[in-house]
Amino acid sequence: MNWRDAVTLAGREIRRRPARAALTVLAVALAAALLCALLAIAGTARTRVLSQLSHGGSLAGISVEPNAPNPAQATLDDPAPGLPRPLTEAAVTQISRLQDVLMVLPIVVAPVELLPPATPPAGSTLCPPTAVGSSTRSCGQGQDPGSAATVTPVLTTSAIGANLGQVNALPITLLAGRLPIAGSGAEVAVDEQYLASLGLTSSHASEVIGTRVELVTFVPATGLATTTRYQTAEIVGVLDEEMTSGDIVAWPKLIETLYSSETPPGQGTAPIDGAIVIAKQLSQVSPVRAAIAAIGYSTAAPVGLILSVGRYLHVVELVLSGIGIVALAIAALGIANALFAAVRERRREIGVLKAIGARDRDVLRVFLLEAGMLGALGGLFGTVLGMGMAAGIAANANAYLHSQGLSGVALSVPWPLPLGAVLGSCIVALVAGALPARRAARLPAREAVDA
Amino acid sequence: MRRPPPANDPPRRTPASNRRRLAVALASAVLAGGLAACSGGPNAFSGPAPQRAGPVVTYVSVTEAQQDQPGDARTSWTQQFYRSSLPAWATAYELDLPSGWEFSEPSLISEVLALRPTVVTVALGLDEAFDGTGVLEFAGALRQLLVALHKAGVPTVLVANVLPLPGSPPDSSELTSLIHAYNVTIATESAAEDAVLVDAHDAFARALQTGQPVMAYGNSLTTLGENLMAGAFEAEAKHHVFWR
Repeated sequence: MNWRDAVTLAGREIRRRPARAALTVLAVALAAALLCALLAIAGTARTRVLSQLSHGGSLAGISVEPNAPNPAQATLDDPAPGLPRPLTEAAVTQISRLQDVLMVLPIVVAPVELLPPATPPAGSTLCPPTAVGSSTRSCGQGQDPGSAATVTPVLTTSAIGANLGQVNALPITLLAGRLPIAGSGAEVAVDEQYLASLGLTSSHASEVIGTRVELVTFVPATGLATTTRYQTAEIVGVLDEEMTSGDIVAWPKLIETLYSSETPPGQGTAPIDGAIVIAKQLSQVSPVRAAIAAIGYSTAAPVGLILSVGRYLHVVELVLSGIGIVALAIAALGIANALFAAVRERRREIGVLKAIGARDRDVLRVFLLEAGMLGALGGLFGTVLGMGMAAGIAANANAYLHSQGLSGVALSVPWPLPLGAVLGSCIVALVAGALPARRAARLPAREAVDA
Repeated sequence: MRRPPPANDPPRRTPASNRRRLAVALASAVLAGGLAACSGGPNAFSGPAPQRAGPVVTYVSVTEAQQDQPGDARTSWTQQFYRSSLPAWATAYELDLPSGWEFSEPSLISEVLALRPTVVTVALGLDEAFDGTGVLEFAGALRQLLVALHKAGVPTVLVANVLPLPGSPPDSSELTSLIHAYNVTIATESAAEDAVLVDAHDAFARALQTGQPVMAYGNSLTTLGENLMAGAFEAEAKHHVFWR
């Protein structure tokens, strides 16, 4: 029997029992898809995420304080600033020109008083002033209107301004909504402290999205009168943390208009409260910190964190690979089971083949070819499915990242992965089919025909 | 000999073709399910759509301080006017003028113009009217302010006249004459510089005649009075909207 006859026989057998063949192909395909998707995702997590973190990402960020350096802080992750020292525009420019500095993000802060909406949003435990003592109007969550606290109208705090276009470098995470659009002077994001001032918990964060907050600032008297400045801004996002230096975040344009009413709106200058310096590489964080200290400012950076992140990612990769291997082993068992069943069902056919002159190796070849075809089909189908799954998961992850104002992560699929998945499926199928094929080949012709 | 089936008979399905269909359907369902599970639903983190702001609206109120705390500001007529008559993106500046301020204060004009206003409201309280400033002196100071605002190209300038006296004090006729003189001056100067006259005097006089408590503690405005004042300004402002 030549190869062509063997291929014809194997193909005919697959076509004869399409349901069984399809189920076997499906088992291989699912296993290959799972392995393929898991390896692609794990590879992406390792090569892209870690790479982005370590190459100019937030982990390579150095927080520069408006303080003189503390000689003992160089090896500390936590800030340990020295005496106060104003961070000037000139100093920021000087830092941005340092070698190995990718970017510098100045942070401006303005003291502000917030007037929340007169009526508390849904879910608030506070009552509007008119509801106090009212027996007909309920407010809050199960509270007696007569005893419920009324809205505290003023929240004295600070507004933080930063280039939110470089949000990858900022230590902020969105709980709901989005970040203010580029350069906006009318949109802000608030933190959980603001929610608390309205009697809201983080589970009601979405209730404040789209509401307006009034920002009140006072300008010191320069002549006739003091000036009170009122500006409303739309809350477009809620941050998932309580910030230490303020409760609202916006673009610097808004903060600068708040800071000074003496100059025309938009032309005020707020003092720089700090800066985030991004080093080009994680390995260059320490030299950059030393250079900033030499200029005369205190710094802080989470150098040790990325090592932990790297270790955890490696563990995740191992676990994902383990799951994939288990899936592939289950698929191999499925193939072996299908071929054993085929041998049992085709004993008579094997006997006839042998009776008309087929040798053991011819029968072995037919069964191995059948296993190989099932493996190849399953591998091909599974690789396409696995790539689709990985792309779908990556698209979902990117949608979340984009909603957070972060740049997406490109799916990293090295070319050996799909090739290896198809070849690997073939090899697994051949290995799984070897035993049934060998059994079929050794079946005596008379015994097979009698069966 | 086997007879061929009639042409209108449906094609017979063999067990093998049924199995093939089942296999294809099963594979398609698994593929579709897998891809659907990965594609996810709508993004839960989408915030409100950005709103396009109109032209710059900077409102400056020139009046005596009405409140002590920002939280009290919601009830003052200037704040009501800012919130209800001006667009959401407007910025408001309140010059918290000290009690007893003089309208002829030279720094007033420069302070107002430094804010680059597009909407200005001017209101002279009774206390200011009776602080000893003569009508002619007041007329000169008001003219200077209005001319400066006109030259600066401020699109909307609203000037309220002096409110009537609450009750009937002993020297009411003399005071009423003084108020009338001030109001004539305000009307003249406003007309000369294209400012809009807000006839708050008439609105309050009608309210007082009907016994509405719009003024209390002498000359200060009650909550109802603040509402009435804001309404008087709003009624005139809606004819001079430039921000839509």
